[in-house]
Amino acid sequence: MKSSEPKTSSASDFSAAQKTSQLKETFRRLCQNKAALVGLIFLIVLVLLAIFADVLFNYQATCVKQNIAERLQWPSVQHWFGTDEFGRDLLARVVHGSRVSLSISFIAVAFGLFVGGILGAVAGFFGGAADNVIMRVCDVFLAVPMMLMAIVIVAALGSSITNLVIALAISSVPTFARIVRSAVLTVRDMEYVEAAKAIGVKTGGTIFHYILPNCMGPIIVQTTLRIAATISNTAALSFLGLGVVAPRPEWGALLSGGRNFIRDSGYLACIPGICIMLTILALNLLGDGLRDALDPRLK
Amino acid sequence: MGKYIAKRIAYMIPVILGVTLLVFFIMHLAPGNPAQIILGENATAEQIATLEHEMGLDQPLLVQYVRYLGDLLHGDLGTSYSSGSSVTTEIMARFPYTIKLTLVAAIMSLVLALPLGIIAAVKQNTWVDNVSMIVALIGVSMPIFWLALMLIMLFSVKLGWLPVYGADSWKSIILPAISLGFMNMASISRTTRSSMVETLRQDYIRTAYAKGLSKTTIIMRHAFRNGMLPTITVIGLEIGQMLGGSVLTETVFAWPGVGRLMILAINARDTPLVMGCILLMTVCFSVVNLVVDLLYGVVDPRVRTMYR
Amino acid sequence: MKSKKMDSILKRGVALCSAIILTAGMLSGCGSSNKPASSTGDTSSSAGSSSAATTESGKDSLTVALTDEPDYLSTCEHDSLMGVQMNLLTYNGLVRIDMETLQPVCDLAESFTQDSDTEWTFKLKQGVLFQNGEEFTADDVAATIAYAQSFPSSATYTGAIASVEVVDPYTVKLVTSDPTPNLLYNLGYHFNFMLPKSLIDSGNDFSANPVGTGPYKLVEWNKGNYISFVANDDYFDADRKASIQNLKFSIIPEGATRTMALESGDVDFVYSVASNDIDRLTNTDGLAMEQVVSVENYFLYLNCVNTPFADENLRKAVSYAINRDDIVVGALNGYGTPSYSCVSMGYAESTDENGYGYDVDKAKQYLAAWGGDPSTVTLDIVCSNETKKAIATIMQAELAEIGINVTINEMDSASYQAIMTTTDLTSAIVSWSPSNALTYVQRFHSTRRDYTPACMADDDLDVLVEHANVCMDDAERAGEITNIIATVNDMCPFVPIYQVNYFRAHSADLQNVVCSATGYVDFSAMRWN
Repeated sequence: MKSSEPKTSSASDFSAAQKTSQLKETFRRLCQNKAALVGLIFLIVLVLLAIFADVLFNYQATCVKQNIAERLQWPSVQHWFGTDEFGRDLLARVVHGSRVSLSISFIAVAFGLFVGGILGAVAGFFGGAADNVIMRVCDVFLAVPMMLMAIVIVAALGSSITNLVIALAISSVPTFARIVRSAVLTVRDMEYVEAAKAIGVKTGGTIFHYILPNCMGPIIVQTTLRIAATISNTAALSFLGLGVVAPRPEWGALLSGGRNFIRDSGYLACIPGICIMLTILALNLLGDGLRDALDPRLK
Repeated sequence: MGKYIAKRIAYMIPVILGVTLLVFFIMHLAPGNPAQIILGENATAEQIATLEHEMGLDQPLLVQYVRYLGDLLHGDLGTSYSSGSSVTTEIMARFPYTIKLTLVAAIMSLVLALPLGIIAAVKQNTWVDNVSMIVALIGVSMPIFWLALMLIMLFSVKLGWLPVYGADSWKSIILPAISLGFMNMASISRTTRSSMVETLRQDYIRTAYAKGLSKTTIIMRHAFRNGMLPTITVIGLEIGQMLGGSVLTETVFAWPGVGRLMILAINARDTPLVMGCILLMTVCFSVVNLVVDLLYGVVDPRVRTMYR
Repeated sequence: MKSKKMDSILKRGVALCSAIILTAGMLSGCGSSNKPASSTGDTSSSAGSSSAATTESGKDSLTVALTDEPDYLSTCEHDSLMGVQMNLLTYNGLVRIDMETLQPVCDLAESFTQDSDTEWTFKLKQGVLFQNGEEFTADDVAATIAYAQSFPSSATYTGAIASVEVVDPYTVKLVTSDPTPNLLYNLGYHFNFMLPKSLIDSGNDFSANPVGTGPYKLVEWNKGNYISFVANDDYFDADRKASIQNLKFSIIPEGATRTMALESGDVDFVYSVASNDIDRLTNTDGLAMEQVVSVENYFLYLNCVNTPFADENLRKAVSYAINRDDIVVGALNGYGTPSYSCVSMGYAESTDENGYGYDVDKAKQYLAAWGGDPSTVTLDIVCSNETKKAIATIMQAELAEIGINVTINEMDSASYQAIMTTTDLTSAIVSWSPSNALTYVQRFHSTRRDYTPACMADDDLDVLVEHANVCMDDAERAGEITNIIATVNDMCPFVPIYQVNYFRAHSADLQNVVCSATGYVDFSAMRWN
């Protein structure tokens, strides 16, 4: 086992065939991990629900139309998840809400990970002046509260889901930059990185093929956790009028809307809360599985 | 090392400049007029103009900014628009409470998170691992106000052991610290687990086993130390964040911290107070990050090269 | 002064059904029938037992849960409900607004006479001491009013006073620039609460050191946490001397926490009960609930200047299409009073003549009279809090029935305040609660078009308002105000939604809890059983 150069077999010259076989291999190993499989299946079902929400529940009739007479009913055969304070079916709103929530949080986190990841990797890899400048800029942005940023984004660009995503993404960039930087620092001085540099691999190649794949663990963990945080931030921001405008349901907004009814109609906050929790759990199971499957040392 | 610390403290200056500049322009861009907020909805335009003049808000933005920096150099954070008292007084009335809550919450989350993360990594893919993951994930995805209200309901209303709210006895810090710490625990224990898993697969751990060292020694001395870097980063971020105030926890438990102060200040477009809170947060972050970077070196000698 | 105001304080139990009867009762001028004792009866018994009560029950402190922290404890630097509530503890005016009748009665003044339409003479009580030990005299009155006038925000309440003449140490003469029927109300408002001249001259910070003549003295203000007071033993009015020695106001922003703090006994009084907890607290043994139908009116402000809603028929269509009962149930858990008049029915002069019920057919008729295509109109409602958002959400569903598209535009409070001073919005949900009906209808004058509640500009209405404004005969003015309100209702400048019901919960052992329809609580009158 040559674990001091874990990626050398596949990194120096990628051919298309090798890539495909590696993907297949990763997927095969992922399927062997039962927990990861459960997570994957849950996420697939969730995405399908989100895609086919309109088939399951008519948006206007179930998510928008109010029925004050049936407000705040506990879960029953008729309304599996109960009804909200305006008499709307919570199940329908949760299903339709998954659409908005999943897309918002995935896009925002993906953006934050992409930008933050590059910044963090560059900072960690090069150190010195680049590290200092990038980290100080991150410090500046980390210091400005998301709420303040959000108010200004709305004032400048108007209220829309896109701007909500922008606010959420900006707020997660510095966090990702720090995490990636620290992960990079742990492997930066490893022999295989030195080796790659020595044989003349370009800097970008070194970072993407040697460094990042070997410090994915904490990054994957933070990514999955960040999705949870993003959903709850959405809730906080929705009160500022940023993004998800009523009556469109969204998990974070459902969750914080249920806050006022927490003692007598606890299901209003619990059910969206459980949905968020299960989604994060599934993402984590998948994330852990994925990391194991990608790790060449575990072959 | 001393030189490194001095250098890092010097780096705080551009950060502070950057933050003040950013916040100044952001507050300027945000809709809402502090003079009008002070005078209320029924003030006349002349009244607002007079007050704006008194407050110096009619000056060009750059002039206002330079004046602010000048005051800042003298250690003067200005006067709060909304309360008329000095920003330093306002913040210092609350910051001790925030520090108290942060420390207790951080200790609570570490006490729970580190063992949870380490055990989960050692017993990877067993039921122990799964339970610890579920506990951690409940922490991260459970709405904090929900947890907080449940805690109050159980320990204060039903059992009567702890006060519902307040910040003036040691008893009153327990519930806020638990709910704040529980949330942070998730991220710390998950990160610990994953970097420990990573480390446990390294060669030197195998070597250590081969040398016949005891499992505890290997885990604590070799694996834990080497896997600490990401964990320390996360802890640093969480503590930094908590020192900036934790709005929801403070709101539910009526804890008089800086988080709520800042939200109220933002809502009143109280620029000096917002700036004061954010500067405090910046300094906290910078100090915590410095400590984190220093700890990197303590934990992982390879990183020490960067201290030069 | 006539007692024409209803008493809006209801005891627990009769609360809900009485609210409806009450609305009718206001017009006929019912007295304090719902309250067991009149204010004079109460206070005399309270004075008699003040020292005894504290020793008997062994409890001489009261902890109150407040939602918001006041920014100032001084009189002139704020105009907020919580600030005024705190001012009432440490200061007095020449007159005070009686919390039950909402009428001005003498406080630091012994008596007053109206010499002409613009001249008033006040005889001051003698031997009244400020909390710093100085005696209150006519010089303090002159100094205080001059001080208050130096604050631009006090103009509404001090602007009419042209001169203050010190006749002798216990007599002052006030001259107003125009006949000012509201003068007594203005003198009872916090801007005109009396401060010692010596401290004004020395530049005292009245927020940190609130020295007045009031029933309580500030002990400590722990910012963001609590404000505590102790009873003023030297209070000048023996009948209204505080019975409870120590008063502590804890700032608890979260409604559920306030409720639980009361349930656990951590606090004795909750200033504002979240609507979802009203049932629970009402049914909890050992707790009592006060319900007050307030003068605070929630309405849908419509921009009549540069939007399609400048058309009266379109406004009326909206007004008829809104089911206020559903809003009260859906957004307030049933705890509010539907409102059909542009001016709160809490004022004796108010009327719902020409008001609007819920009638979709009529709405459609008005829509037809307007003649446009409703799908081309978008009603963008600006909301600044959760309750307003809930109201707007219900309106959105209801107005969809007549084809009007509603969008909900949430804002934080500063952005909301900023946009409200412009015409860059279509509509907003707004609440307003001035202390009397005259102040309310003054806003219907075209010169006040830019202010809450409505952008009215009507020549005939201007004449009516100008006349009422200087009418010094109480009965005549009341009639004029009623006429103005009926006229305004017919023009439908905005859509009334509901009147707020204030809920104050407290330990059942707490007696003589007086809560006003304008939002205040009389803490000095309370006593422990």
